[in-house]
Amino acid sequence: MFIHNFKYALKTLFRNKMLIFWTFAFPIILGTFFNMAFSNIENSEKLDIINIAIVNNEEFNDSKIWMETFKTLSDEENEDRLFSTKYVTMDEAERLLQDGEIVGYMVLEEEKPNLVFATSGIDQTIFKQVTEEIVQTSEMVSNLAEDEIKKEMMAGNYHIDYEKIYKDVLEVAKNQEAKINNISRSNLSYTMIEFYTLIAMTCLYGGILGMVAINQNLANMSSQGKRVSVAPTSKGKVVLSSMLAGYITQLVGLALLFIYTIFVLKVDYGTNLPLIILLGAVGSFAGLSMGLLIGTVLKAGEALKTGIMISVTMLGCFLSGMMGITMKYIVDKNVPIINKINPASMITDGFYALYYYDTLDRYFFNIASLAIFAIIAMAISYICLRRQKYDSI
Amino acid sequence: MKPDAYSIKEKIGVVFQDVAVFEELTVYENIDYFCGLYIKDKKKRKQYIDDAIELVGLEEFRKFYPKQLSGGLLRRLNIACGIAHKPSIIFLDEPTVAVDPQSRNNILDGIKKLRDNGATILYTTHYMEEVEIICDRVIILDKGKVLATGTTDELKELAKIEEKVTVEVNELEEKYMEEIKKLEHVDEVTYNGNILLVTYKKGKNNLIELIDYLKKESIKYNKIYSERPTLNDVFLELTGKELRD
Repeated sequence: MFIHNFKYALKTLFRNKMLIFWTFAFPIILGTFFNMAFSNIENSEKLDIINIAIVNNEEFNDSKIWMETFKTLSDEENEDRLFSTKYVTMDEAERLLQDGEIVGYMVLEEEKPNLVFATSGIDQTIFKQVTEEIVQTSEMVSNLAEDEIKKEMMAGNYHIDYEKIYKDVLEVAKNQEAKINNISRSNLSYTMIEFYTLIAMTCLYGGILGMVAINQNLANMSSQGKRVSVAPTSKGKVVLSSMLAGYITQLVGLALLFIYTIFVLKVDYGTNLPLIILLGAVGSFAGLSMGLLIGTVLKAGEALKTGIMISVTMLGCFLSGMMGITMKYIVDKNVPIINKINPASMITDGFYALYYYDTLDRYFFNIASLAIFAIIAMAISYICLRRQKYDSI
Repeated sequence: MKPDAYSIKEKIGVVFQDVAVFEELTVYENIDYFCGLYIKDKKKRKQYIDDAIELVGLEEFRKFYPKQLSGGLLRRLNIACGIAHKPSIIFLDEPTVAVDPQSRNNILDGIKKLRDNGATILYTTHYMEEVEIICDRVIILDKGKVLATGTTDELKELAKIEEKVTVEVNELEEKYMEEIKKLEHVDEVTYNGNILLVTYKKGKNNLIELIDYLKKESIKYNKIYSERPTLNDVFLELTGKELRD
């Protein structure tokens, strides 16, 4: 029974032109447009350098790591330089900010950077991330130097080789500098952000498959469902086999999107492709569960349910930064709970985590969040399905 | 009946009023899918599907998709999906709505075959002529209430009229209608278009008397015939003639 229903559910899904369009064709079409539109923006964006100011106080001038890092990131001879930095007084910095000549300025006080912005946006986010990285680096460098000196003294060597320690510390600082460059423009690529949300959207469109699969088995939703209901079959088996067929169809759609973006659009997903695929697979499961939930809980026609499903997906993607990364920043800042329960946001956040964090903690946190979301959606759907009885079909 | 009363469910076949098939599956696949919900043995199922296809006369359309079928063929596919597993009790809900006469004939023949093969058939319809052709026992329902039960002959006896005479008359003055009403046993006289319809409560030679009257008054007519009341008359008699929602 399970295999019989699974086989035919798969056939009906793969032959359904509307579903094939939304699951297979639409993400590919959208991806093509993203590639055309955003690669041009990106090319022009490369010329845009973030204008910032640093308050040229005594503490800043005494801190080699701060000075050197900003010097490197603002080096006019470097094509990929991130900042155009003005070293000014506090009053001057404030005036530049008011006049809109800079996106923000930094004051180094008691070894901590205080950032001042007039508005929020991607440039401000980059500036903030860079300063955070420098704080971490300077802590690491001082700890390292301290450890090296302690080690030498514990070994009874009071003739410390300061030159060696200096070289080691310099090496660490260089690595950190490379990392700072790495979080800069090349990895905050608009195209990549769009592709992440595109994958998130594709995963969530799996919900339409889940919804259609469930509708075909509900007596109050489709005439085919009436037939299934009067047959001597377990509703659980029918629903599970239909969901599995929907999930496999969804994975095929996702695989096609990856193949197309990698081989045709030449999108570079980096070295973490298996983890990206895992995230896509878990995200698709969450999407499918969301479709099952909408299909089961809402008492509406299939067309309305499909409309709601598409709207919810698009809204989720919008809030997670599909139409502009600033939105994700705004939501994170003002209503962070939305991004915590928005599966599109969990998926995109999982992707960012792969790039911006050395450890996979945040990535797996997002994977776990998606799995929990899916389990809750499935549990609610199960309860609703168990309760459904029909007076008249 | 509980949802998991599988031993009862497997003996039941339902043909819904709405066509309940998958647009994405061919004729054969649709029947195979729904039959497969009842019959697990593949070999047996194949035989059952072939029998169902033959019963509804869809042999030439096995690989056709539903959208390639006419309304009549689609109805036949709908029936095949509901009865392929050879149930012993079959519910058919208006299976001939909006089909061409040939398909209707085929469907009614198929239903008779199912009955002859031993299935009990519960047939819901508004077409009384179909009831007269295929039903052994009839229940007239109105607003969920049983109004009458019995064979077709038994039900016809419930009608208050005994005979209906239909006359094709090109022109008929009002005064003649009034006079016809006064003839013996006449219940009702109507004149619509060029059809004069006279219904009688009882009596045996009503037709001859009416012909005599028409001759006497020199009223020219094209056709005249008499008939017994139909189930349609009984139905209207029992449920009333006012329009329904």
